[in-house]
Amino acid sequence: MISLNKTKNLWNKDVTMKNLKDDIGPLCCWYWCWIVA
Amino acid sequence: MLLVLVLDSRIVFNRNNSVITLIGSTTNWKMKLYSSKYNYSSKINSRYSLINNTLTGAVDIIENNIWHLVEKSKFELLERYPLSNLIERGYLYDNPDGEKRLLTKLYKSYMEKATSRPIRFVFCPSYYCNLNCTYCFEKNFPYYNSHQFMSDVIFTKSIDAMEKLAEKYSGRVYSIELFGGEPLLKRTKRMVKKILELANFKKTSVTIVTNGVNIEKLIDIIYPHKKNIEMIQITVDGPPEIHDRRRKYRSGRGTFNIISKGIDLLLKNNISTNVRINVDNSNIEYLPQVYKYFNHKKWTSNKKFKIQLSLVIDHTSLDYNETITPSEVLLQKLIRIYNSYPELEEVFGFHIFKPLRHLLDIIRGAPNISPKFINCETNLLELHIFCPDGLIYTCPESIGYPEFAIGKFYPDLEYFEDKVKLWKERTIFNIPECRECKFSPICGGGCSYSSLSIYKGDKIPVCERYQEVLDTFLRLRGEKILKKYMI
Repeated sequence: MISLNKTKNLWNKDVTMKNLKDDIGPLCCWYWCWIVA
Repeated sequence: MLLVLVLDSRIVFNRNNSVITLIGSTTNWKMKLYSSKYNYSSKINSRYSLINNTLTGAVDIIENNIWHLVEKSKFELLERYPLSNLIERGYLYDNPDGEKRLLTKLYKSYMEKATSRPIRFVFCPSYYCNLNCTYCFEKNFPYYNSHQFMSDVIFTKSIDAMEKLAEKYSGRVYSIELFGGEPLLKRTKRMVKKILELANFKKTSVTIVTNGVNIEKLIDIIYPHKKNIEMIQITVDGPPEIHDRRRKYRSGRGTFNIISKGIDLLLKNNISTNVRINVDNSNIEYLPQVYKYFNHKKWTSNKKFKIQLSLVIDHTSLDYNETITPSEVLLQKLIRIYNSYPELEEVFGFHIFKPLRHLLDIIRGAPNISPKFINCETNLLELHIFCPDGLIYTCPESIGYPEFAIGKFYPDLEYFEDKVKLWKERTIFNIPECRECKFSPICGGGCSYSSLSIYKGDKIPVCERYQEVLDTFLRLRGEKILKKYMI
């Protein structure tokens, strides 16, 4: 079993919240993704 | 037969059928294992599968025979190592409520962060647009003729409303966006100028979403404020003949050449320009040609230039047609293009497909991805869109339809509490079908606007094709992912 995640601690809520873009990152809104990406 | 496995210095696994007995240094207890509700798996080849827990964000490559045992709940046949790892990463639980507790904990943390983000103020000085694009979603506004442009009084009231809301919620105006209709018109120039001056005064960034045909006519008011302009978004849908078939003036004349000149002008003036390519079944195959044009213009080597694909989606219907096809069909076509033009895969990637984003982020090295409990920013009322009808909307696709407005700023500022609830209370907890769906933590329940306009209800999921898109992607790109991690 090989993990693709960089972090092992998936349970830490602070780690779980991290995203490449910012704390939460863009969600989905069709033109908004672009703006906050 | 009793099998005893040493997990670490403190805990010992002792297994008998699906009940596993844990023996601690001082306590013995029995534990039954439960599969997570949120496990997704896809066979990559005859030996390996990719598995993902959409709640914890765990993504792993695992041998098929091991995963088969998990799927059949034959936990007693699992070896110590994958078993402990599967528990640690959230594929299995030792407690029927463990997953529910985690979900609640993550939701609380998510909402704390999500609701602390500042409001984004969007101005639509006009519902009118000088183009008549084939796929436009703004064609049939009910009050189109009576409220095409913001009047002076409506415009002034919209600025007042922004000031009041900023003071109340975030202390300052963090960003302003211009949207429409088309915001850059001769008739809106005065309003756009005022907004740019205001943004300059407030040291606020401005984003302009425009069709790009009037850049030359408005560059005199844009240029002086370029340091505040975060970016100007312009859509180019293909090489000239394809673009002109889709994005045309009301007379039917194409817009490619004038838009191209506009982009030249913005880049010459060092203004950040983001080109959006709206793709669907009828233009995706022209992607290599349009990219060749961008290269020929040397835009792609300009630091102020960015490109992104965007899917043409009709959020008011669930039907497919010749233009709008299921996402996995478009994905297959895109992969075929990428196979012939690998440099395009580097440039555009697959972020256009929502069901792949969490996986792509992890493969790109994100520490983890957050589960999503809502569909988009509209569920946080993050967007406040001021429109010519004096109403405030939160979803850009819903503008012009008063029944979806969250409030008004004319004659006085007021929220419509019943409408606010419609958007804000839509979470995967409140949609019964989402509670049982393995994709809900990465989907968020689907588009609220679709749910409201198609089903006339906010508690009905709008299921996107997560299973199909993920399966297709891993069937066609799984080996490539495997290679990256198996070396």
